[in-house]
Amino acid sequence: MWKSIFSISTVVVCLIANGQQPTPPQKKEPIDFRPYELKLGMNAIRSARTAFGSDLITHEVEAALAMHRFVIVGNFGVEEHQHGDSFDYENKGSYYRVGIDRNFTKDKESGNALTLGLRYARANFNDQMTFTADQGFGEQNYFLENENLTARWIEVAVGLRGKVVSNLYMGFTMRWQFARKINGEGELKTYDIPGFGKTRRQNSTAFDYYLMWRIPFRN
Amino acid sequence: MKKLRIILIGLAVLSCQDIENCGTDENLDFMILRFFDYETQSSKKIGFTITAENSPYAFTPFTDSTGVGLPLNPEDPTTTFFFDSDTSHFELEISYEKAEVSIFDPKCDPSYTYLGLDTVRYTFDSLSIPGTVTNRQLNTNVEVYF
Repeated sequence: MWKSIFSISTVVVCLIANGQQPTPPQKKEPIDFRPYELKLGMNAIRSARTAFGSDLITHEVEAALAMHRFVIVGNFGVEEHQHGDSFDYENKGSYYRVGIDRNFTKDKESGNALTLGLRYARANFNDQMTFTADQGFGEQNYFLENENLTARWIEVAVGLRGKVVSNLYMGFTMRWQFARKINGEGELKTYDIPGFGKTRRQNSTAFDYYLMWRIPFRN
Repeated sequence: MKKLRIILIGLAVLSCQDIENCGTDENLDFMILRFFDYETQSSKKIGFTITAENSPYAFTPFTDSTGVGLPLNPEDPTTTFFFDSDTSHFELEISYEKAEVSIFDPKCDPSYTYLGLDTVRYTFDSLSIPGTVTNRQLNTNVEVYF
């Protein structure tokens, strides 16, 4: 009797042991941080405003280097803006943004991208204003100027890039701009900052549309 | 996709609706004086002819005659005012740390504001400066007692 029980138990234990054979470890794909594409492009909205507007000259280029699920992004732009009905205000300078995006699309091959990222932005510019006014002391001509102004701010950027044809991509970036600081202002308060916009609001939003050319590094 | 397109166009249209009403500019290019009786501390009507150094104008009090808006000279760090009637003559010299010029909207005139108002000298009995910035939110910059 005891012999039979022992034999059955042995068989059951052997069966259970067989059922619990460890599966071979799955091979985890190593993370590859080598860049796999570079997109170079221009801000179409800014170029269109330059082409069709009379008081604004502005251009912006963008470079986006993609690696793994991240994209290192840089923008450089120039802006020359004139304002005023009863005065002449001119603002002229350049700006840049650098930052990193997280790409939420998994298909690297397509080059399409849905991104969320952070930017540090900085502008170097001058502004000046001329007008004639009577401030209660007779009519006088005024000339006010700020030289070597600098401004910096931070941006949260949401972007979408989609393939149009071949290696041509289009897409937009929406920005929330905050933590703005201007250095160098004198009697004249700056009306707008290249790359940021009007200074009346401490925070700002922006919408840019880009045309980009993709240069893939690997097939 | 169609909804996204409508939202994007809507956002673009909204961003263009940014034209300001010049009358809502908070900055003021003049200071507001209020006159009080020195003994009773109550509002006092005035009958002065008010002029300023280097100004070709005489400045008219408000309709209730208990206050007046006076311009400050942006070209000088101080402005001197003269208050004359048949029986009296007072002087007031006001200084300001800084005049700031800004653009409220490109369609409006340049916007002035003066910061750090202070007295240099006065011949009234007493004077206080409850508002050191010329701003529409302040109803009084200088209280004059005589």
